[in-house]
Amino acid sequence: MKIGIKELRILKILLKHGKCNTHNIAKLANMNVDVVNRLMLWLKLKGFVEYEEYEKIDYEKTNIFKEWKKYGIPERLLLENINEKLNLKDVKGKNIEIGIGWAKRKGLIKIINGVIEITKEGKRFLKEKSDIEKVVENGNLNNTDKNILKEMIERGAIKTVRKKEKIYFLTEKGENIVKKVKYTKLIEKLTPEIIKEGKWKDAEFVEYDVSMPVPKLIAGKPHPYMEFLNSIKEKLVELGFMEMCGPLIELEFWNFDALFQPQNHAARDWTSTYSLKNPKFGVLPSTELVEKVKTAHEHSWKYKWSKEIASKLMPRAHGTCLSARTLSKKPKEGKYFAIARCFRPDVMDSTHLLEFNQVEGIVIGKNLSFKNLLGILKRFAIEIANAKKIKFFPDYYPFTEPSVQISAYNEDFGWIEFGGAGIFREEMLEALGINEPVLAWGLGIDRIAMFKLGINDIRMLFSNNLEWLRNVKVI
Amino acid sequence: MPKIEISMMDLNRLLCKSIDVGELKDSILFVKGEIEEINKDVLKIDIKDTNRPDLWSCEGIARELKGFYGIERGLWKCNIKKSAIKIIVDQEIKHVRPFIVGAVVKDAMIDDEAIRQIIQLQEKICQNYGRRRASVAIGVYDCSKIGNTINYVLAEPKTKFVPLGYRKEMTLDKILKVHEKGIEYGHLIRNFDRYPILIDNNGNILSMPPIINSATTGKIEKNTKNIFIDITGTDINKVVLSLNVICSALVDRGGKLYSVEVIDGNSKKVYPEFEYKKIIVNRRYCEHILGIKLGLDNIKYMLEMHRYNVDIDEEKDCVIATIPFYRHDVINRRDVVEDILISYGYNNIMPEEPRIVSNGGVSNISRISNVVREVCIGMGMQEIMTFILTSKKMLKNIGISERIVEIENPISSEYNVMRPFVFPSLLKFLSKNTKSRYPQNVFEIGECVLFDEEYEEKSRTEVHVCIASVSNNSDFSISKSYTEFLATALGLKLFYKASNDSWFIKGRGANIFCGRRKIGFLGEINPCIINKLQIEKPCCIVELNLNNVLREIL
Repeated sequence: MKIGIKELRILKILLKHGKCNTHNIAKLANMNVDVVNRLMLWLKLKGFVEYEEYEKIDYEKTNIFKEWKKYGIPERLLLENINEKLNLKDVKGKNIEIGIGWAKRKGLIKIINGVIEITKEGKRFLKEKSDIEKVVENGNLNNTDKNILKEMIERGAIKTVRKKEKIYFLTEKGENIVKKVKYTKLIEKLTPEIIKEGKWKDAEFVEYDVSMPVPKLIAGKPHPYMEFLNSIKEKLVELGFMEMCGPLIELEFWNFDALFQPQNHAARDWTSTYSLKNPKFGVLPSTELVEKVKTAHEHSWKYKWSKEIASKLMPRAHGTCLSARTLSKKPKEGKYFAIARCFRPDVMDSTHLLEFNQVEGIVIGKNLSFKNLLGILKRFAIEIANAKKIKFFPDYYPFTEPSVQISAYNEDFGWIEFGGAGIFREEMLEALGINEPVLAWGLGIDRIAMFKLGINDIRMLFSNNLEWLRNVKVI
Repeated sequence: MPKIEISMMDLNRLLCKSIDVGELKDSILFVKGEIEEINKDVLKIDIKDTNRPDLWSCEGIARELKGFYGIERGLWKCNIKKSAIKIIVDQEIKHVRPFIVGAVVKDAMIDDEAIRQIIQLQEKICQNYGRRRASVAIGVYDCSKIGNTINYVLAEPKTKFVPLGYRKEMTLDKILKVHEKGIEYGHLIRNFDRYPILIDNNGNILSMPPIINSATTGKIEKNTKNIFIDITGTDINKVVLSLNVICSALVDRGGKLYSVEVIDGNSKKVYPEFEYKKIIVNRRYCEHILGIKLGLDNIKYMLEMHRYNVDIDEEKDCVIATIPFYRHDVINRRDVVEDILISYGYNNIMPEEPRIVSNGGVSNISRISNVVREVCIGMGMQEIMTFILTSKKMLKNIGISERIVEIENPISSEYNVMRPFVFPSLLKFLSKNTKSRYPQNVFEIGECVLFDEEYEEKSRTEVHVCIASVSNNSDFSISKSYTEFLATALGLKLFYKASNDSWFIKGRGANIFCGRRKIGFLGEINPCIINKLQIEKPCCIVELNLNNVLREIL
């Protein structure tokens, strides 16, 4: 026979005390009632215990009870208001009026010709607390005198509720197992003492039922979304990409102008991106670079480029500004990536966040072509999205030409938009001082993350539910 | 990315060819479109190109698809005759809304669907391309109801006319205050003491750009014969292009185009002005960018599909592409190459990975973050992720007095500043989990933003780790134990000095130093904050600036 240590403790209690409800068991075993309830179900299933169900009358306190507790019972309120005598007409207040009836019934007062007088009984009452008041004070209705309960019910301070209660007792099988443990040398819990003194040598161990339920552990765990982002980072590093870092607050210059996005473009409207109230303006980088960018804009877009607009500050709206910064340092050849937190003034709902992580990067090299860009995207789709099929679509980004969107398919999530990419525009690269082609790409990974986490609300990626995080799978 | 609605029936009739939705699903890629919804005859289409307003209506899509299906190739052309209408620009208006152009279209087939498309195109241009009417606003009028000379002038706020949607005359002032469009777009002109209007030689007010047209003249209806279009704005290139786009759409509906003369001081110009730019594209360049082999004839054919005209120069191994006048998105040869690519078909190119040898790697801050993360998890902490945007009010409640980087246009007051520390985010998280099992030990490694005049961005971004513990036993000592354990793992020797941070219980908060550098703080959170946030148990935190830690380690 296999049994757990907590279960055995319960069986012992039942052997000693006979029939018990779970509250008593919990108290005697020094365990949580919920735990006991769970264990009882298991013990019943194994046939160690049985129960009888009784209907139990219980009492529930009403608002009147609470009022009594706060202000005192009506008859006391009344008596404390009477100075020797009181004219009935002068009685004021609802509770005090109620007090008259009860005080009279209990013989605490007499009413003669409309004048209230305190009796001897009443005077005694004023000196010490009555039984009913003692109950009100300590709030414990168990073991209360039946007459007092009856009065409280009549006065509406409490009401009766019927509850079903299970009373547990040992079955024969249950009794046998406890007795066996009791009368033979069975070890429940192995202690250092037993080990040290070798007591275990002539004893038997209680054999546990290994399928028994155990308490849930509270321990440390990675966040599943962070784990996912890190796995992408690892993949990209394996593919030869170097990580780029940069500030969350950007000059519009890096977020837009350096990316050849004209200052009058709709994407720069306040509804599309955040701007800062404080600090409002930053300092533009080297004049040479600024002049080149200005020239590129004014020549191609035919408008007057403003330094002031370019020096406005904003929380970055995409990770591409990191690529622009990297390119401005004029690297020769190489692969770069970033996982960047980005900000956009969207209303949060199940498909939009107001800040999100963008995975993106660039490849710089002499003979790179659009064909190579498709090659990189295909590799990402296979490695990161586990794609079985891929498809390319024409797309539009202000800073790339040509631009492409890739959709990836696998059996689990069907077709998803997996990323956008393109070759950086010549005007942009010239201003940054780059002569080689630069392939730029960005991946939409949140859909895949949501699929891996088994969620369909994007807000859950930043869940503030601790229990959910404790229970969610990480891989 | 403008989303537009078109009717399949209308598309087929403009194409002069019958295609079904299945065919369109493929061919719509040719205009960088995607069918998002199908509702019987009506399709919702997302056009991805934000620089091509010519594709934001059924007419434009049909024009481009005619090239795709080979119904018409090469440049789209039409004759422009002279109309009698002229617009005279008052010089005072130059500082309010300087540019105006116009045109007349006669005998276009205007039925309900055509009206829907014109209104939609007008709206999409004004909203997207015209930045909510700031740079472009469009008015269309029944030509038969207006005089031949139209003055574009500033008028006193007391001036009256009947705006669209109303039956009574209103003053310009009142329109800005009361009319739906006045409320929506009033900010564009409200700061001036007089407002722009169009008024004809009969003294009738046509409209109050960029707000609203007049109810008497400024409306087209089914079977309106002749249409007058005016476009005002602050960006002449956008204004001109918008006119070209709208005119060509109406001509596609069978309209005949007539020009309008704009007299602006000493200059006299005639609109619409169809300008055909030429760009030379080298064949080698094409091949180099795309990574495929192409012939000159090939290139010519593929560009004609996109309604370019193409001349071949065999000697120089290049083509001379003439660009349709309704396209301002074609700026240089690269843009032409993309059109070749779209004709060629994205999925007809074999992907090939680049041969670049490079060493991958993560940044130093990522590396140290990973170590710290593993140590924290080892200490029994649940990792959490929160937003960097937070509420100014909450930071104030916690007693943070640092200068905070603040958003100008927040969507909600819950997310209106960038956090300077991570711990407020963790406290907020914990305040939402009082019903969860204890002990609650959590950590986050995340970015923070601090004011800093020394940087170009007037702020600096730092990566912090914050550990927070809420339980009956959470106190100063445990937060210090966590810190010491972490410091040992990072090989740091730390010093502690009492801190005055008001969010700690007095005498139970400390600043953490490594060498002379402050790298963080720790302590027991003040019960007044615990109460405010409705956390129910004692709480302690540690916050370390990993950028500073990194400086000590390197």
